[in-house]
Amino acid sequence: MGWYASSYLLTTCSVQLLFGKLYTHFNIKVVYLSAIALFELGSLICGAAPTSNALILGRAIAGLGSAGVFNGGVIIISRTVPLVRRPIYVGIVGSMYGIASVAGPLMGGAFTDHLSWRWCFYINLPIGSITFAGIVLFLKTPEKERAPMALRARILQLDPLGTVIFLPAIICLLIALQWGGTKYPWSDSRVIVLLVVFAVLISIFIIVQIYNKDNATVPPRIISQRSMAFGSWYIFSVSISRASFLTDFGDQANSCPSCRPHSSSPYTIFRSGFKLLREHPQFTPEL
Amino acid sequence: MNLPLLLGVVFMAMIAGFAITLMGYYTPFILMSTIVAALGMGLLSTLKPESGHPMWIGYECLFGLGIGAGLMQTVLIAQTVLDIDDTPTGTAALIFFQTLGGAIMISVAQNVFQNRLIANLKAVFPGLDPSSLLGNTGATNLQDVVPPEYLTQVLIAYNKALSSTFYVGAAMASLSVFGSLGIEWKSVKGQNDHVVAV
Repeated sequence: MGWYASSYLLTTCSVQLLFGKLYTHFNIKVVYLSAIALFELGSLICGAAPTSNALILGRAIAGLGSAGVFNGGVIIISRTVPLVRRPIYVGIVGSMYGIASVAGPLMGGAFTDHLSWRWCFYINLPIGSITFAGIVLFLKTPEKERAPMALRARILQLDPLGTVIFLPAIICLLIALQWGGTKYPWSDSRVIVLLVVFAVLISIFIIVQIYNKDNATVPPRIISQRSMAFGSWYIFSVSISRASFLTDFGDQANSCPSCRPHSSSPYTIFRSGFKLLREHPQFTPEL
Repeated sequence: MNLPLLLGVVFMAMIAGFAITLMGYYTPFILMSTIVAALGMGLLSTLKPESGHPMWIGYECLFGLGIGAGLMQTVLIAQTVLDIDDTPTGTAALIFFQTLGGAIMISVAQNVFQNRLIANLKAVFPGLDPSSLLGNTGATNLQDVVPPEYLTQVLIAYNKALSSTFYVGAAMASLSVFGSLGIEWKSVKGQNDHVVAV
């Protein structure tokens, strides 16, 4: 997995939970627009990237924003559509995601062949601007009355201690997973140290969550609610299953000649593997 | 191209959306998602180089139907069982587990695939340096690297490595039953709505 894909995942995973707190304690519209703006800034940096490192930085910033965009979309539905009709809207969001995953690689390929790979990222700017303007003009989120609160108390609500522990924990885990078995063997001291640091930090994080109660990033009473706990396991395991098929950034990165990733992503290999196997029926081996 | 998969996802996500609004319950669709996704992934792992298009397309589509039935609808849990003030945090937690699962599987899939491929190739060509086949080599240019007389064996090794990766996917889809069985049957109908008209 190249850094183009993983820098995005790294930041998305790291701040996803924090966005839950931001949407709880701050104006939903402001948080959502900020998330879109971050995503667009990241896309702009990617599109204009003079070097491979700039592209990775752009992907990281876009990942920060995207953590809030997906989340925010669902939360806006929850504040504007009655619960009984929400399943339809959630279905529409899911379908859009599906359609975009087909259209994205196709458009990416077309841009790369006929224009420039940079347009794979620039295309986000007009689309994002339309969304941004639409939200500014039309979204009126019902704001609950908030008691005026000192800045310090507001920041404490966001669980700064938990966040400071959680970010490096996730970064250690994802870098260990990226390196293990590919760049370094699993027995390499670097990989082992990263995994140990992850285990220690995540344990401290869980203790902080229990101790912080309602001010925790994930208050224990929320995640221990029966449906939430079982639902978390369901969505985690099915996402793992689905990931063997997901399309990803690998295709676009592969077609950017000056910034080829160090290895093809497994998805790319899977897909081209299928393609090869499909296109050559003359290889009908005895199994 | 994963078109059949995505057609399955889109079709089923819409059907499930309308059906849940009519029936009120999302849990049966999450249960169905577990069953159909596990079935689809299991079938995908049986594919062979000589398997025809109907098999590839059908299995991919079946897996997509399984994903579409439950994955997005899971966010409804946070909105149905939690207080309005807790829904953003609950939603964030569910989406976090979705992202984390994907991030972990990228690495696991790559590891399983590469290790199985190398082991399979070594079994057929004891003297081969497998690193010459990995690195920047996707399967599209496998033919440029492998002499034609060995291509069949390499394809079989490649196919077996793919199947091993799908076994992981099928196992995880099956294990998701321990989540979907525990989710309460709670209707989206008749709950307190906290929506203020816009």
